[in-house]
Amino acid sequence: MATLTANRVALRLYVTGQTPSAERAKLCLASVCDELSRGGHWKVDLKVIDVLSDPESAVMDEVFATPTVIRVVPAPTRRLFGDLSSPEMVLVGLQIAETPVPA
Amino acid sequence: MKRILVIDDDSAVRSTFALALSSRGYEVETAEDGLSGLAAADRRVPDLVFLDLKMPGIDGVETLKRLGAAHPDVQVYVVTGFYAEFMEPLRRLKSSGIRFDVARKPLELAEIRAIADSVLAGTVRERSVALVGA
Repeated sequence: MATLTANRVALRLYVTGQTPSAERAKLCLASVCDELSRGGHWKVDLKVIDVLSDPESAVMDEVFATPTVIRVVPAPTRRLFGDLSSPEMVLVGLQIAETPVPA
Repeated sequence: MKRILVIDDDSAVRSTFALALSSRGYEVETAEDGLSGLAAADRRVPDLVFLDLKMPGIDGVETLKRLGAAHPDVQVYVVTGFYAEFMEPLRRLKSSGIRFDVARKPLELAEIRAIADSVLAGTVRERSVALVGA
């Protein structure tokens, strides 16, 4: 049975500076975070990483191109690459809503 | 038909991109150096450019600078190793307003197709699932 305690979601968004695709992805992920936080089941931590400033993290996270969003927590890791402009598509792709909330 | 320009001095890399993208229905033109790539873009503006960073003659940074000045709306993916030393000149370009994304070298066929599809068809791929066999 699910508890009322919020469970953690950690996302990393990899971008290249402030491209239009990066800005769309940031807006989209902000909306995704709002959606997940609503209801109190999930506490979302989103970290935006510019590959130009931190390429090592991109290598560690096996990013092959920007923009990419990675669900780090809950496990297993999921990586979404491409047109990250639709919060609905990103939510489906990250499969967070389908992940069982730990009791 | 969407047109993609690949600028890379390595013929094997050019062939890989051509194979990956033409089989997807994209029109692909390749160029072996920055100047011929710029000439190809001037002849007919591409919808997407894959650009190598380290090339003889004018390198990828200079090519990107000229490409960005002549065709600011063209989507460019700089294909490079994700190392700090390669990122520094790209950071300077970015701060001067040139727009581009980056992709890690070497790219697999499925990754090349995923990038093209995302830019030209607005797709999203889950790497561990949708890219397999794409």
